[in-house]
Amino acid sequence: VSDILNQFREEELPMSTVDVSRAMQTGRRRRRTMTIIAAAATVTVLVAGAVAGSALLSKRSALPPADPSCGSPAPARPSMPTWEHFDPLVYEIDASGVQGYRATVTSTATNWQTLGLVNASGNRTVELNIYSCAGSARSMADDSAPANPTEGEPADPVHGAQAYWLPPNQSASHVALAWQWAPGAWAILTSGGVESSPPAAELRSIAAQVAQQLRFGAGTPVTSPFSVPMPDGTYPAMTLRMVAHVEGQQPRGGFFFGFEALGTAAPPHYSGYVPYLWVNASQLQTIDQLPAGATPYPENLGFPAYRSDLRSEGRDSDLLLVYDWFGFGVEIEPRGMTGTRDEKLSYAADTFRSMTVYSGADKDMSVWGNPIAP
Amino acid sequence: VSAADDEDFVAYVTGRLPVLRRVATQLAGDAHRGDDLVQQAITRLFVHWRRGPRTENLDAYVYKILTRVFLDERRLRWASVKLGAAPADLEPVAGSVNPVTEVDDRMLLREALATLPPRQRAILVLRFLVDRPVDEVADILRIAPGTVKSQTHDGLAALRRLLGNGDTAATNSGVNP
Repeated sequence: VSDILNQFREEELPMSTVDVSRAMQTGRRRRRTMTIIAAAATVTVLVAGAVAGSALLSKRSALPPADPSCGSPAPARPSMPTWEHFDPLVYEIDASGVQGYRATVTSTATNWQTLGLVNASGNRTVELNIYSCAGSARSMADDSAPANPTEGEPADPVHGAQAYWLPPNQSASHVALAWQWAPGAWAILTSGGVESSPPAAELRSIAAQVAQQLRFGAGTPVTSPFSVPMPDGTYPAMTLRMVAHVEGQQPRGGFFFGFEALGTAAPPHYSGYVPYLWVNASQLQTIDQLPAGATPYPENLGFPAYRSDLRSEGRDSDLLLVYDWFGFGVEIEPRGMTGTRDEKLSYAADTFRSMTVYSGADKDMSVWGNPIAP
Repeated sequence: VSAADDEDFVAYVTGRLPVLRRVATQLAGDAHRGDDLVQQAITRLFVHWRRGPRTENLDAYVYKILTRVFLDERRLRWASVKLGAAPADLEPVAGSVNPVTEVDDRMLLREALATLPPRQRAILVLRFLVDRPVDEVADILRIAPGTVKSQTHDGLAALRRLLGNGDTAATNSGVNP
């Protein structure tokens, strides 16, 4: 085996897409913004609790006052007076009109929502990120800094709004179209192909077509295969639902639920974000994928349970893994908590014990329900 | 950062780019994702460039950044999944490995590598592709040298199983205790 590994030393790689000058440009910008971001985060925390809204929104902290120039939802909903922020438990993208594609991933958060689509043959993908007015739109080409869509190449309007083509990403396997889906709130739609250099013209055509077929303000409740009581001192920060479609097989899904600590600002974008507490259940996580070095969890949780040391990944917490839980594998990581690793793991175990699965959730996603236990 | 520092950075990165790309390709599973890892890693390197060249072993420092970028991405599964993952990407591949005789060894090994846990994969790549010593790999991954050795053994054994060599090849050859 090590001899074969050795062969990789001589392997010819495709032409490099690494851009040293881009790294330097981004690095300089990141240096400049690091101080500004740190200061802004402090200010944001100081205005915690300033926003009124739905009962759920009022549980959150650190949401700044609504920007009066931010677009209002259509149709208007009392619980969501503007798009200053999203409700992470309500999905606002309506993809029912998109032809020839099916959803693989949907994600919600306070300041962004995401939809991932794939076509029937699996060789074309579309990813849509919509941001709230308070969100910070990012492009796949460089997610370390806010995108500046208006500096892009003008494109045909989308739903009446001026649109722009963003600069291509490093591997040139995607194109990105940006427009304001609501006043003051950006959408970035990325169209890609699995081959190394898909035709850009085709990708642009797909992007423009899908953009026109999307609708916003769906107001669809987020559903999960499990429910869990709201952990004390947290608010729902993000959700992710993914579905794997395999020909001839029943779709399999997973749901990731991220909580953030009260008093911590909701992140303006997804880049690099890991929540305070992750609670995940997925049919794609099986005991076959038990991480090397994982050890059995010492208490009986009623299902095969393990702890995985994450210190090698820069975490001061362990991952609790539980398998064969009504057809799901569960992962819980209390990343942001204070306390010893054992205390955090014990908290993760308590969280697991508080989870309830929706009956038949492993067979039928239509039975998935509210992720927050009453 | 002075212009001279910038020139040093460009000279260093340009010189190390081929090997960084090889390492990243094996970590990520394909050259394009590997290049994305390298792009992120050298950006981080530039942010800290004034600190980087003053570290004792600059190569080790860069491998540490690259490995961290890789592992961070793996942890942020939601982010990696949503970046246009095709359905097949979500499927475990262990069952799809073909006999060694049927396909190119390197392709097969890459597929087998992809089935290993990220940290174990990183250990094998750092040990056998760029010959980093056990202590340095331990430092890069912030784990004990003994863990590097045991994970190396376990990783090679797992690869042998996946490649169909069975127990007969599951010896300690290739493992530096």
